[in-house]
Amino acid sequence: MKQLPPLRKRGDLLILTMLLLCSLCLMLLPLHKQGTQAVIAIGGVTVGVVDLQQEQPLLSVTGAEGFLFCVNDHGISVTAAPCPSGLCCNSTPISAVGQCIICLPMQLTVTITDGEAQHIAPDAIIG
Amino acid sequence: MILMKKKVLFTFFLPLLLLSTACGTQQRSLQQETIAAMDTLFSLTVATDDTGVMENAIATLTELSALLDCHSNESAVSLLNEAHTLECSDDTLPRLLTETAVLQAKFGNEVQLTCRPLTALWGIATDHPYIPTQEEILAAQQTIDDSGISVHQNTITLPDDASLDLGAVAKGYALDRVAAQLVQTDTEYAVISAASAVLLYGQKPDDKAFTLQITDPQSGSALGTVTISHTEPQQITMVGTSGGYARYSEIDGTRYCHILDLQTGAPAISDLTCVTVFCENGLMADFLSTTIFLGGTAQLGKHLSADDYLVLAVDTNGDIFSSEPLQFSKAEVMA
Repeated sequence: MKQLPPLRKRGDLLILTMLLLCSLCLMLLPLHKQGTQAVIAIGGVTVGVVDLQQEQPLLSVTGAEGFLFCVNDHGISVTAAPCPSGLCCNSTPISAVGQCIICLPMQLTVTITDGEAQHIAPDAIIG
Repeated sequence: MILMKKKVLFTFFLPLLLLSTACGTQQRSLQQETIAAMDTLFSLTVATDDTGVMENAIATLTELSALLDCHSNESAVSLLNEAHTLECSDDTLPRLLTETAVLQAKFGNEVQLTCRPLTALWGIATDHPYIPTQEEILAAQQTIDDSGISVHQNTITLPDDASLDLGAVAKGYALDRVAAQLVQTDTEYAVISAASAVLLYGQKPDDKAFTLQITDPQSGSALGTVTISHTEPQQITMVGTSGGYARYSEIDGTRYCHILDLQTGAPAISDLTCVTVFCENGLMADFLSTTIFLGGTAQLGKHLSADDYLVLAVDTNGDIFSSEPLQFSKAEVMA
């Protein structure tokens, strides 16, 4: 059996160091990607898309009447809900792609996206 | 020599070509306004750098609201109803009447504009709804006959006792007039919605499709979404919807819808709860949505397979009927 040559050359050591550094960088990178938009849906249908870059301490969305949202520090939280329990108001602000706040009684979902999501607010509501 | 020509071609024309491509994809600024007109709220979104486009659209809607409203004593329609003859200053009202007559000849007389005596009698969705006697209904029915309307150039003449209520087609017609203005401008795209009538104009950036949310007639929440793609820069889609769920009156615990069945002289009883029509003409969308609603499921089949318009209808069981080319996705109901 042919034996592998020992790490003698400077180039080998350099490659090994670079690989180790890359691995370290990957470990230190945040696991969650910061979102840029929050998609607000009622009953599965998008009623609003909120830009998380703009601070909005008191935000109401047409189609999600009774709810109030707060956009702060690139995250969003629910501050008021029309349902009796108001459980979603206790949830912490969300900001990472994929994170979600759900209000079951009112069928509300707030989902963080990176702005490339397929869900978009309707151009118009008829009826 | 040939080589030089090629050089010139690349030096001058290629940058020009690239520049023109860049200009072509430049996005216009988005203007948004909401106005009250025709007894509803109009929400206007217009992508254009010309501020005059929005101003003209609002002016047109406001003007038409004042012109076509039979509830306002000063409107042209009220003056016509009073005097039974009117020489109009332009062709706005005469055109509405002649275009409606064309639709009636093609699709039937279920929608008639001389229905004002009957709508006034019932007063549905007003502060004073009333259940009339059979004699009162018969008397009102006898005045309903659009074939008696005479339009000669800009002069309109109504038969004795006839009076107009344009509620069934006014919003769609108004959107037609706005669309006619938009095509004269550099507007990239526009969305104008007025609860039961919507105009989708042009192409959104990156050729994105328009999304239209349809309201569930039973719950009032979202029934689903229709996706509409425009392939031409000045393409127009008009949407009109009719149903008894949004405007009605409750008298002694019974709900009466605002759409009247001119055959019975009473509020319509249909096994359809909501009909939405998609086509290129707003008046036609309005007219057809009411016609199909009145016809119920028995008449629905021929409309679903029509070539020049698409239909989405919901019946009293909650079943959804849709023309095949329509891209409708039902809203997911969470557990």
